[in-house]
Amino acid sequence: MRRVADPAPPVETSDAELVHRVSLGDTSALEALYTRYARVVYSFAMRIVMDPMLAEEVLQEVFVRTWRQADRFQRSRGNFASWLLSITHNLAIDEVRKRQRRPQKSDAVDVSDALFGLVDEATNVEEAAEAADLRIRIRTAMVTLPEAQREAIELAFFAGLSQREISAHLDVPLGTIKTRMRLGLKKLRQELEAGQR
Amino acid sequence: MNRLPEEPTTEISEMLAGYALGALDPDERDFIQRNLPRHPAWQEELDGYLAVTAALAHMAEPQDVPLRARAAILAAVDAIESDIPLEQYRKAAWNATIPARALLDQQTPPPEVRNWRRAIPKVALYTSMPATIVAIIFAMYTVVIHNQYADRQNEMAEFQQESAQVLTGDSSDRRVVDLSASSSAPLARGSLFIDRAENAAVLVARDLPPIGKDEQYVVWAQTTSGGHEFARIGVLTPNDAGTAQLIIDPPDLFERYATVLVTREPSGDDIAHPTGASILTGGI
Repeated sequence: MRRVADPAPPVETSDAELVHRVSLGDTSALEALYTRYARVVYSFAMRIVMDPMLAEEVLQEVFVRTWRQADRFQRSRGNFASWLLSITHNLAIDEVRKRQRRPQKSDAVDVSDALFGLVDEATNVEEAAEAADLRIRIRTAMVTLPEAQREAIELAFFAGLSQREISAHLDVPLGTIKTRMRLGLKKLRQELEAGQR
Repeated sequence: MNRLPEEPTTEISEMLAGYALGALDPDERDFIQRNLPRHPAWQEELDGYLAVTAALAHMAEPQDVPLRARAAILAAVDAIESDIPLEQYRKAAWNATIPARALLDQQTPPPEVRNWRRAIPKVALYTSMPATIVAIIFAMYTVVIHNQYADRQNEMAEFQQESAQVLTGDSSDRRVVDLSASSSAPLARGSLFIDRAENAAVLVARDLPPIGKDEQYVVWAQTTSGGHEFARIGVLTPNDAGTAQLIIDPPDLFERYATVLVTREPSGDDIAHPTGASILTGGI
């Protein structure tokens, strides 16, 4: 992909302030949030749907929802990034499930090719430092998990399988899968908190 | 009915973990959503799990974000603010015409782009090299992202409202056909957005050369049986910038057409098959 630098400078305003401005109809605030989070949202969507075109649709829908639902965002229920990534996860998993129900046609045209592959370089700059740190910490934390717990979490979170489906897939009792997920998430939380100290 | 525990039991904790991972069956998910507001301790535990799942999202390998996505989102916001019905918009204008909007974004290029575009005909005519045209178009794309959306808002809204009425299928039913320019109009570009579920399409063309009042751009579809069987499926009416959109409701299934063709023809409805210069063409 070719790269194009965005002329908009990085925005230092807090997420909460930007979301507030978005709720008042400020598109520049939405764009600032986009610059800040588009890369992680798109990468996350790609990890789940494994299709650039679908990932792009998810990305766009996530920020359209941000625009429409900013006033509903309650900071007390978590930070903006968590909220945004939760939306991303739901939309991406929906896409995966839709695709499982209805196989994709083989002749679909890659719109990336059709409309040229320019890269939004501004999103890379904004995302880089903090996200890279978190990426290292979560990957390190995942390594500490027993393989069975890691597998259960990844099948649920990235492949979109339910606890029941994972149980059938792995031929392991449902209760065992539930326990693995709970223990795995608790362990990850401990590791992440320890990494912050 | 048994009273639910204020503090999450092991069973509830497992459901909360599954909820955070999006791994519950619908009935369990409904149970959690119904009871969360009345159980702060459940919510607290869930928040802890959600912090982990938010971090899990960062495990994904970083990917470059396509530049056009930003323009598409801002255009979408424009459309929403123009009171386009959300469901129509989401089903069609948003999903099916993302590329169309990316093209439409360029209706009002900044001054430096206009200069490029003035230079294009000479370059193209002198060299007749498609690669040159492609390179120039690429250059246009490098500055397009901050175009003046307000200038084209009305036109886009109209286009999206129209397209929303015909393109309602899911993404698997849609495809995009890029149209190639002929030597008669080397700068022209076009894309055909086909929704096979609805057997409908939107054709977006750009940089069409100016035509006289006694001329028109006619869109044809050639049947898969080959030969010269053409169906006349519409007329493109470009604006001053040479951009045109056409909602296509063809007389037959798209699957039965092999090619779509835009030609420059004399005005009138009596032309049954292409006779004029080919402008754009693409295989369906």
